[in-house]
Amino acid sequence: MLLRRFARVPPPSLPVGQGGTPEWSDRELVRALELGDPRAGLLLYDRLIRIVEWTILRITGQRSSEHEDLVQMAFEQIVVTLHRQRYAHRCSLTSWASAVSSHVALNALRSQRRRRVSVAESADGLPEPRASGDLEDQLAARQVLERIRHELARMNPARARALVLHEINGLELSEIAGVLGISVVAAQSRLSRGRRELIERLSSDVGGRPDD
Amino acid sequence: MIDRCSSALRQLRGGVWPVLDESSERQRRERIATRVLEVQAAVTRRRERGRFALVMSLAALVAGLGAAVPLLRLSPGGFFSSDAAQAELTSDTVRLVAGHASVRDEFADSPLEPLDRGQVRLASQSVLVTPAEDGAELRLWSDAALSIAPSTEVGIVRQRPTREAFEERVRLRSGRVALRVPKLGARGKVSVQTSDALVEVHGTQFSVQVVERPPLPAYTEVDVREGRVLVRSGDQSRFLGAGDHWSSAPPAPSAAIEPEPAPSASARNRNRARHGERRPVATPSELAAQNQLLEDAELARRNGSSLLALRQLDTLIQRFPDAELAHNARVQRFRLLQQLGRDADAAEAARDYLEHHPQGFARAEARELLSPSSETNP
Repeated sequence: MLLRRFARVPPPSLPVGQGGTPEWSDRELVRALELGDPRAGLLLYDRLIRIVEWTILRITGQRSSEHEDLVQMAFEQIVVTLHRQRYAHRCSLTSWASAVSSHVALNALRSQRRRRVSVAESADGLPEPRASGDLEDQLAARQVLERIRHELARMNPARARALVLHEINGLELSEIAGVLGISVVAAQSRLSRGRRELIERLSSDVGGRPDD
Repeated sequence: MIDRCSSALRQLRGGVWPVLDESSERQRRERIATRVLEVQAAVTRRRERGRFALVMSLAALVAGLGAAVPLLRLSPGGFFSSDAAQAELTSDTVRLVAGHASVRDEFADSPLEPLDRGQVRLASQSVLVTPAEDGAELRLWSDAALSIAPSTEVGIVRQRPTREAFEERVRLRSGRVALRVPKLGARGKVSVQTSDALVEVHGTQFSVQVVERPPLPAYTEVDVREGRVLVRSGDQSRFLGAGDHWSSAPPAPSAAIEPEPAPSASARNRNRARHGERRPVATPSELAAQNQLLEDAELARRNGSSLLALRQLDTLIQRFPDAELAHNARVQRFRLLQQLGRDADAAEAARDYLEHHPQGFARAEARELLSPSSETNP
């Protein structure tokens, strides 16, 4: 206990903005979190909730009853991975959060596929089909989205993750390499193989419909 | 090929998503921020243990093994445990979040010690007792929220059957508890044990009550609000879904005195669960038809065809009144009517929803919808 107390570092003098809200950089926020600063939890939430929720919704496709669990799980994973120093400030905290969230969401998607959930839990939050045509067009558009999600859940996890990070989250190759802890060449390879695999899968039944 | 793939994937980027209402968002913010700090504290503790163990190892090397071993034995929590995670799992801490509770050992006549707010240790033989006038809210190690009703006695036991798996068991001696259990994955389990039933859950919201009826033995009642639970009683086991009620009490004698009116759908569901019957299982084609109707209704609503959406919902409810998706359809129906400004119809639909799903996930919303109309039209 004595040693533990000795090991504790005094809280850092971090910048505080107007209204007492800390204005911390990513690095300062991570440091405050490590030191157990009670403000760090709320600040981490405020900084990352949008990207976490956005990523999970895009991948899973619905605000189901599981959604809140996934959001919390993503935050827990973010904290754990920050602690394990996998993050190491190789990219922005937001990019890191998007990578962790996509991992959590893809796992959930695979798990759903295994469970073969056929009963819709709630229709709330289904995405607006982008086409503004008639009902049939919208149904078809939605089927395509579901098909893409289905194939993402089935394909090689590492490739799927690289694809999601690049195409959905908009991360550059160097960022993908950073968050996945691989070289840029390896990231490029996963991306191109992932594209090939996804197209093959999508083309196998519907004859290349996604691009039609 | 790149264009085709990108175009396919980028379709997932589109869409408009509903945001949470302010109150839910505030609750989520506080919940997750608290959880973030808890996880951080847990990993920091683990790291400190590792560091401490390293320091002590070095000290042991320097000072000599004979001098170091007694010192290590004095260290809290057994830092040289071969499995640090196990030490943490079997630690007896719970967090008292709200309310009041006292703790005593397993003997009923032993003295009660009031429980302090915050993190407290609770030995596996200890019994938590809530006073008659107040309940308590606890957070368990598994992050399950345990709500203990007044005049309730519970014990909490943690087990670790394998290196990866864990189980947290609430032993309900008397009274009533309600739990909200997060998704624990395949390796985690939270259960509630009474004298005659064991309720296992993985991610749900439910309550368990021990009903005393001296001189007959007590029996157990289970109500599920969300998700599914597995109830084991004797050599029987069955799953309960959202809105289901189960009781271990034997069914009442069938000597009916007078004919009863036909039960409502919700009453039928409760009776089925009580007597061990299952809901009628939808065949795949029926399920597909239900899904299709609900999806079409949702799509029509988003397309601005509210009347078409209502028609689809009505069809679903009429064709499959007891189906799982009829629950969603009834919720969508009163929401849609409310959006259309048809307040009287919406109130009627909300009333219908509450009648069919008194424990349904949207009951608060339905009651809220009913409250103004009940005030204006007593």
